[in-house]
Amino acid sequence: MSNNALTGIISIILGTFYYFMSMQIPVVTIGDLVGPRLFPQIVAAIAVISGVLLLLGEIISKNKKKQKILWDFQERKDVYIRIVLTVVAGLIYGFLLVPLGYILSTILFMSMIMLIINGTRRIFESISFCLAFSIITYVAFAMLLNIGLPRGILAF
Amino acid sequence: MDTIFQNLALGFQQAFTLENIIWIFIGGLLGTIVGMLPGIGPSSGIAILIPIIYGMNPTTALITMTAVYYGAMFGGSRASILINTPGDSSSIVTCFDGYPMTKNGQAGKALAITAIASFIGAIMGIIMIIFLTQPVASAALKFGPAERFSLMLFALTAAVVLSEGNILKGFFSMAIGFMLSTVGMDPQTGAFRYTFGIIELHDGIDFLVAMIGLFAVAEVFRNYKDIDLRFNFDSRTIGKVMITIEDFKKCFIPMLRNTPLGFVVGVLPGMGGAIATFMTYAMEKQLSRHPEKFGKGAIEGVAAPEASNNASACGAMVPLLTLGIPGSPSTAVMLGALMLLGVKPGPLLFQERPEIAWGLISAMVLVAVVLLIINLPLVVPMVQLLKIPQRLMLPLILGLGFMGAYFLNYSSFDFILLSLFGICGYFMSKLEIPIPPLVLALILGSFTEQSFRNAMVISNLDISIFFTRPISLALIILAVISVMYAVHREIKIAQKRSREF
Repeated sequence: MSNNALTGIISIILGTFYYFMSMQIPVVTIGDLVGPRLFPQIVAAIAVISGVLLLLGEIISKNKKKQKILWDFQERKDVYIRIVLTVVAGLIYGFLLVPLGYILSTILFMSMIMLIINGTRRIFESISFCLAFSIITYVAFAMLLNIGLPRGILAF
Repeated sequence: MDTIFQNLALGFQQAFTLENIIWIFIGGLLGTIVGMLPGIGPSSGIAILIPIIYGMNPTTALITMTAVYYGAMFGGSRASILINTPGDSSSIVTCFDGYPMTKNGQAGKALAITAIASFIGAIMGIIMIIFLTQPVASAALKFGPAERFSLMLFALTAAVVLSEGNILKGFFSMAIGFMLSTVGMDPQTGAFRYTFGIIELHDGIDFLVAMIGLFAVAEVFRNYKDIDLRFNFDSRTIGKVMITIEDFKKCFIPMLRNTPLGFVVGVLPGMGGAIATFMTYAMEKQLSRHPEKFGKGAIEGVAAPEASNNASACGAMVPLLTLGIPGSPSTAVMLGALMLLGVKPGPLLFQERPEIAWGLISAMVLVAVVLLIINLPLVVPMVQLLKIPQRLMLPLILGLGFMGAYFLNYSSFDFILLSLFGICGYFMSKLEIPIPPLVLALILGSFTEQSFRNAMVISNLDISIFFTRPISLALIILAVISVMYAVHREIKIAQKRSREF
């Protein structure tokens, strides 16, 4: 499937979904005759119309050599794996930030990222980088700029 | 005229304290660094630097952000000159002659002239800001909801039309931005929209989280394909960071005559430094007595676009400060930072908080001076940072991005949003959907909707209110013309392509 056609389909699906979800918004018109539904419905129409036009343009286009998307799912599996792992690391960071405190959770998060990007190469460089990042940012934000950071189990 | 000088004096009084100068120095330095690094664009760089202003008083915070913003504009060309890799899209042009200068052993000269050209561009730009903001702000004060809506419409269509790629994809991107802006409580009726029962979404989506995700995190994802990339250059070949009087004479007129062009391009919504620099380069090549030297290391070819780029960065401040409309992704981040500080840019800013508006304008002068000072002697140690390998740069950007997002609301729910926006930004660039329209629509969405609804209430649900008021009608006509122009352009490109195959 070509790049434009796929974008068109996504646009139509998203616009339609958004339109149907707007039906669930409670209609309140006190002091506001327009209500909270109209604007989202206009936006949904913009998305659907752009999608339909994109798709039509691809269908009637005589240009046989349509732009293909370079997904590279097979060739660059490593990139996609890294992206997924980064997201997982980010979510773990979110869960642990308050219970563990800023320093420990940040060291953990940065180690995960270093592992995702560099594997076990240059392990000492990676460890010192994680420690330095967490401690320097903690000193800068919590001590110099007086921003309250979660301290967690390391209370100081 | 008198009031302008009074206002400026007030501004300088606000800006000129030791603490502010120190922060201008720090902000300018950090801004230059993020502007310079090729892995990170100015908008993501500014976004991840926002945490440094937490805990500051509003004026200092504003001044620091201005320093970061200008630093990022200043820094962009360093990488173009030394490693032939632009730090941002407005420094692509600097590669044309800047890198040849490096190959000719004139890297020091090229670095020096870009700093001087940036300074001249910025000062000229600031002078134009000083005389332009007041009239624009006073005119905008007369705008009612109908005019405000049409203005937003024009700004957004301009952003769609001028962003690279297919115009329909631009409109789709804008629609996504609007969709995201409607998440949360509707301010007029209190109804919850699109929150899917998630309490964290009741306050809406913080657009700074969206920007850090779409720009910084997505950029890291894109760079995952070449982790082993590193840039190298021999710092010994930079030579003395100096220019001769003769060089200066050669560049002075080209630098000066392009600043108005850059400024005007900057004022227009959606046009950024990239367009300004390309136009300037083309013009200088035409005007030059030695056009054959362009592309082989002509010093004017470096100086003129750089001055124009900085004038355009100043121009972008005019709609931001007077209308509350950011013209580029970088100014959009600036708007986010201002709103974070409780400052709402717009025509009322000059009336209600003149100390902030004019403090900012005066701070720009200080920032330009400080940047010139740090860029001449410190450029050699600073450019060493270009040698930081990707395998350390990417974790650094991710770490700062996540930290910055957390500081915004102290909510780890934002990490989920941040990751989603990172993935979204990655796939949008795969599908070649432009990101700037999304960002502008997300920021302006709520305001656009409110203006639309207020206007409709005033007119008793009669949509003709947008077409019967002259200013509103003019803005809508402008929006329609710009869309028609873009459609015409696209059809032409399509015809050309089908003839080729």
